[in-house]
Amino acid sequence: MSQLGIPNVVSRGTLAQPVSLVQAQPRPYVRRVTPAEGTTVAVATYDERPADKSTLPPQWLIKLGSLPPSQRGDALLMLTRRHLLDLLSLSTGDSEALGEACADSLSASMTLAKAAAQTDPAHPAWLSAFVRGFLKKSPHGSVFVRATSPWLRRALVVDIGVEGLTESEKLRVLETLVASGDTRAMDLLERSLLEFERPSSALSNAIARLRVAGAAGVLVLCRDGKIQAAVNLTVGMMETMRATGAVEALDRTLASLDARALPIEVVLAFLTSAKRVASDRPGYQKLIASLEATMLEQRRADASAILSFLR
Amino acid sequence: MRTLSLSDVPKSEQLALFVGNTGENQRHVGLAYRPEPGAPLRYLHLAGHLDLCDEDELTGVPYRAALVNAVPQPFHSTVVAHCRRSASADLDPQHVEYGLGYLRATISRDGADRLVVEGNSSGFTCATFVLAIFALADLRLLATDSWVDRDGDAEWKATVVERLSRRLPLDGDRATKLRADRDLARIRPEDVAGGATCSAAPVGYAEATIAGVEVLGELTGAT
Repeated sequence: MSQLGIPNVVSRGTLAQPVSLVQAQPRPYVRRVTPAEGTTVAVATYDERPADKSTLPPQWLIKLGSLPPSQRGDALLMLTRRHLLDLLSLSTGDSEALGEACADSLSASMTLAKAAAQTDPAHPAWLSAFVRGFLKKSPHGSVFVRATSPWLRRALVVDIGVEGLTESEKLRVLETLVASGDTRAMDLLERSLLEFERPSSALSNAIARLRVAGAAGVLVLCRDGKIQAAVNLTVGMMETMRATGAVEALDRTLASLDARALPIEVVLAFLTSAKRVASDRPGYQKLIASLEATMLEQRRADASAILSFLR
Repeated sequence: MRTLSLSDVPKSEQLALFVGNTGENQRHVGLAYRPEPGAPLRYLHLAGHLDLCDEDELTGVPYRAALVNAVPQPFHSTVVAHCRRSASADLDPQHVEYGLGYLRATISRDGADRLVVEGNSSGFTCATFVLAIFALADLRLLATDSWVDRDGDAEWKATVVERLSRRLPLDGDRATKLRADRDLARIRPEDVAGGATCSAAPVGYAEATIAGVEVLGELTGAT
């Protein structure tokens, strides 16, 4: 194998050693990555994107494994800036294998995922598959998910569904999302997780933590003045609990709230979402009473009109 | 005036309805909402069978806005949340069917956030879709039990069934539901828009239809 350079890449690089390239047999466009080969990643590289795929130049293989982990991100960065469209043409299966191949290099994976998201965020399937592959193999999973963009996290959790990661891997992602405070992603993930048949007690506990985190997330959003976001989260959380028959948990959530401490829009979001299933329950009645007292103190002119919708 | 120009909807209003004349004996109504406070209006409406739209502008005919005075403003952000959820969950794949029946108590969302019509309703019109979004927030905009057909409604419903029959294979269950729903009173788009401008929901037939006639007059003047 000869040392081959990518024109205008190595010369701009900051690598301590040259990137070792291997000229592969000519194959149509993209070669499937085989994780058994370690961190070998296949990309198609050329200066001009050819119109006819049958005339593609030979592919180049880049052995990330020949580089120290701290430099793998740089290597990928140099490639992705010029050749990202080629990487994005990988099938989701190849993307997942690419993610697995990058599993031991958090920086490489972050670089690739962020560059892809910035360049073409319309490829959620590619990114989701990449991250799924990464999370399967990487000990850095939690950090990676926490550090990526909200858009990527949401694309990831929508795509996880009931396939892909194992239950323990999904739990790890879930806990990371709870810690990150990305409430919309949590909302989506809870819904996808609840599609499991008879989830394990560990998963059920995680979902319970999510609900608590969801309620906490509402309070955080209210504190930050993001009222519509708090309402959106409230509706989502309550709808999920209602759809899954978790009426007791729903009512306990209402009982824990103080209408004086919340914007009225958020209180009403809780109550309207719960009314159909919990209007005769103690938590609902308690929150109604709290709301009534608050509106009385505030001398709201629309108090009776509001209460007429809730009783 | 019951209505105002869409461009005159105050920035402080997160929710309104839009209404317009789209043809002979045909009007259209939908929801105009701001996803975030102060953001430009978006328009969520059921344009036809399996054709729910969420758009940043309206084209074709001059639409006008009707402010939702019948529901206290603190509830509006919850309705907006449901608009956003439908815009996210109900468009792809399209699954909201056009139909003549509407039973408020049967509207809900499934585990994937999609709008679900339980019972034997055949689907929504543009007008009843608006009512359904409010119903998801457990807000009853119109006292629909009091509605009755007016001159022209029977013919309009027959036209709808004929148009759907030509476009779709109407067999078995769907055909049965559509035929049954022809017996239900038609709720017109201007009823919903006019009713929204009244003082207190649920707005009854008399008040909403009178307001709806006024809305029609303003639409005619706008074209």
